[in-house]
Amino acid sequence: MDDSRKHNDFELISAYIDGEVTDEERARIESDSKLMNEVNQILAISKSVGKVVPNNSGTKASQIQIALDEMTVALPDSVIPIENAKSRRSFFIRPGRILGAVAAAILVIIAIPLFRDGDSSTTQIASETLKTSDTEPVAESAPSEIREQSIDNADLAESAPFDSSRDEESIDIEETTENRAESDFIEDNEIDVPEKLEEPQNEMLTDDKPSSTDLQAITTPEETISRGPVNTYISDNPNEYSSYLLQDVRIEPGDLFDSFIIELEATSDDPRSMIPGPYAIEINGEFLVGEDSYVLPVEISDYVVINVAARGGVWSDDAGYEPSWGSITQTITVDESNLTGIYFGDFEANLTFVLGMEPNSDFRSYQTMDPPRLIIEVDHNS
Amino acid sequence: MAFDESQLVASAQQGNRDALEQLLEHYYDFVFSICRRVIGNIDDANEATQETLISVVKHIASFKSTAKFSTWVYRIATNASLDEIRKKSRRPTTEFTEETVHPLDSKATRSLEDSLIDTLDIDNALQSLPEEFRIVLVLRDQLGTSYEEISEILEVPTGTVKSRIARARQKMKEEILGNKNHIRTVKEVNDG
Repeated sequence: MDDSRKHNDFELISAYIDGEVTDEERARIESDSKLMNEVNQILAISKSVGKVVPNNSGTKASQIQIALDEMTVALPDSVIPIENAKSRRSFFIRPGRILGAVAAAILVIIAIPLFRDGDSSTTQIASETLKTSDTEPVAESAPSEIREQSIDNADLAESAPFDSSRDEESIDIEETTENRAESDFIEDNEIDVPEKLEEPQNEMLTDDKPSSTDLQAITTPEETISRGPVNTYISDNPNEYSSYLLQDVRIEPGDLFDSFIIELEATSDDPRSMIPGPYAIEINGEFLVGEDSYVLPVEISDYVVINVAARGGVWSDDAGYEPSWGSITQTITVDESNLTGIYFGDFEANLTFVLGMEPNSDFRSYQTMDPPRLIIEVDHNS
Repeated sequence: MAFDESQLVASAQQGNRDALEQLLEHYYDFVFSICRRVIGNIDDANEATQETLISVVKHIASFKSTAKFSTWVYRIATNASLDEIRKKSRRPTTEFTEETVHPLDSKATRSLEDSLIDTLDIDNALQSLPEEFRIVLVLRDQLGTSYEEISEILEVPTGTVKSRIARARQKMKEEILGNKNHIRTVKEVNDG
């Protein structure tokens, strides 16, 4: 019997065992003693594989309890509780204001090393008290090498809930000892951030032109980074930053700049008290797609690698949105934009995206809270 | 009390802890079995199981009743197992401990030797399969998942599922019969 025939028979036998054959095929198998002998052998193996393997009952009870405790778990360490909901609501109802401005009230740019074995010289550490500006999105431009943002866990615990006697429009986050080690960088930010906040701002997600001073990252060859795979993990606990679930990824074209929007869904009962977790953007960086390699489409020569600490999902017109883990490759494009977004999936609560853009494009990034989003705005090349 | 899954899911989605607990209790053995069979190592299987349970708890609100709850849970378990395998591949290899080969079905009436041989046979044969074959076999033979559901879980065409299951069974047979023949030969030699 040649290999092809043997394989076909085996596929038929396998389908027969699963009841996935036609009447004709069934008759053929049952009339052939050799095939039936094979059926019985495979059936015996299938039954062995099919035995449910019970776990230790103590482990079972304990694991179920741990999982159930997640129902009532306090706010994850990665989120900033917000107390001044009133002022935030009043802000939202103002016509013409955009969601990004809320981020100014809540986003505190602290960076802690997201890259365990990365080059510390490129790790941004900041600790600020930011005043609310209702005209202000927190526009965070990518520095020449890498942009990182995170929330410090221990200090957040201390800062929540906010003292109502404080200025309702400010958030204080203390600097940790660990963070102080990067004081040079902090100083830069202490000067830089308030200055930015005082500048007239464009309305995010509108067609207002971003001022050129806000677009600080340029994908020039000199800025190419040679470093290892990006990993936003900063702890061994894979759920530490899994408070957010990927909800949508899209490109919204605009007259002056296009927006790549990664929209998340808060899994807390109190989503308004949360902001998206750490993210990192690396210009022309390396990226991992599970254990597999991936070659970018030839038309993409300049890109940024975006890593977001959140849980993944997939979406389709038919099935709608489903949480999902592991390697997925989905490409996002729209006719009116030259951007190409590629979503690679969730590995260990780390979402990886590549955003292909025209060479030397200027861009900036920021987060909004409601809905939780990470937004990369890419200026149109003139 | 009868197990009314759709009612329990609806209650759990509204934050009913008891309902969620019943669902987790009901699916635990299946989830652990998937993880155990796919990963082949108890410690890692426990990690993947825990991850699965937590994911179910955290994301049950986003589960849509248009899909089967079991399919959704098995998908999470499958993905958690794959994640664990990938994590494992990045970690130093651990020693092959006695626990990893200890027979789990202690209630079985077979002799310890038979249990050990069978458990080893199945586990070793399963681990010899490429992971995409191993998963389809576990989903099919252990959980009785239909080709269509497996296709949905793994997001591959039904034809691919059918083909992978057949190939996986063929390879399992070759592995197990090969091992049994080897064991038989050793035993015959030892028995003189």
